[in-house]
Amino acid sequence: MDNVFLIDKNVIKYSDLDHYLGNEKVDINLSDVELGILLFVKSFKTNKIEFETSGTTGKPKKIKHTQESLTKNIKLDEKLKGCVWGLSYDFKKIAGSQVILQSYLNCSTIINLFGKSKKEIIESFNTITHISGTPTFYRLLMDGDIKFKNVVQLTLGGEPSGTELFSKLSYHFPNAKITNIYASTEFGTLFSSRKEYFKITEKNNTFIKIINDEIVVHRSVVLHNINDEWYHTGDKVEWVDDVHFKIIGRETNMINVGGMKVNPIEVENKINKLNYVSSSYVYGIKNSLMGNVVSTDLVLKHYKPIREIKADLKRILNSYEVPMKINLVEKLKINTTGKIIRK
Amino acid sequence: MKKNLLEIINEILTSNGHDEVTNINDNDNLRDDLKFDSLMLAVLTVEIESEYGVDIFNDGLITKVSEIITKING
Repeated sequence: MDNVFLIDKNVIKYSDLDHYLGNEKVDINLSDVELGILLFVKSFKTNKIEFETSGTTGKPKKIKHTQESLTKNIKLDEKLKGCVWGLSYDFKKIAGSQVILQSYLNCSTIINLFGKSKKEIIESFNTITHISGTPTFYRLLMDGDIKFKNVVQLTLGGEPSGTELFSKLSYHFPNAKITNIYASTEFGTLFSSRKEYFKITEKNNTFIKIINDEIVVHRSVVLHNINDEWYHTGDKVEWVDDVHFKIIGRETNMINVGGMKVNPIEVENKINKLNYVSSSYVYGIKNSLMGNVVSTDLVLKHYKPIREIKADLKRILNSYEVPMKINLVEKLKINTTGKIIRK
Repeated sequence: MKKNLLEIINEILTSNGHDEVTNINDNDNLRDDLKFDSLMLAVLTVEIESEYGVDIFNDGLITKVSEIITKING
């Protein structure tokens, strides 16, 4: 049977893909991104799939995928046919591919949000029922009293999240089931959870371990060739009880302030609790006295003098965590997978 | 420049719960006279570097106001 899916309101048949991708005049008007989605579907069907990692912490790597590796977490259900998926990720990246395949294999609608303005994205939520994005994507979206009542399923991943984000998501997406996932281009999805915490289950404990608070995965699940039996992801965890842990970010992102290790993600989570802060990016800058000091770029919902912001930061942060330099910016630099670009 | 330096120092003092000073003298010791701790000194380096493009601690510890002024003047 031929798959049919919708891009916005355009009905697309797989058997017509060549027609849309060719030079012939087509009867519907597709944007470059929508054509890119079709190209991806074509490469999926012909099983020639390659992605670049996001390059959050270094040079992007090219990783080959197969139909099997890409669909192991795709849920097929007749009920999903009427869903409307919001594509917040770049279609060229693995996270985007998962949204496209969910939509394509379930013959449902997909609306591109990647590269769209905040206003356009908010308007699209009048119809979107399923959305997947990074914590940064949601933070930039949730303003004031706005509620996205149509959304029934919300997935977040790609960056560490915090309690503050979960309570905001519950408020702004009141009807959504929230799923937090830990995944990467190199090994797909490893954990999923309803909270900010994860745990190792009987299902995955043969190929995932936590060693010295770092997530380590067996080479059998890593999609590129490695020599060692176990692959060190560089993602650090913090235990919240005997079985649950939260992912706190990469060891390499830690800022060493005069011997005190500062986790920028934790500081961002604390800063984001301030009601006038829309989003924040915390990083280290070299300092001849302390080795490094903390600096932050802030996007504010409304203007606040730096002196007052500093006073608030001193109140909510440990002394060595307080950013010594505050830059007010209009927006944060975000890469094509929707994550903050970390220097 | 000394006036600007005084403003920077007072900003750091007040945001750390200390009283402002009305003036600074060349011989003032940052730790003993102005009550700067390590973090306040680090803030001072960041502020001076962003204002004057000079890293005052790049070749050793600075203890006095006069040494900062010498560094800024190159």
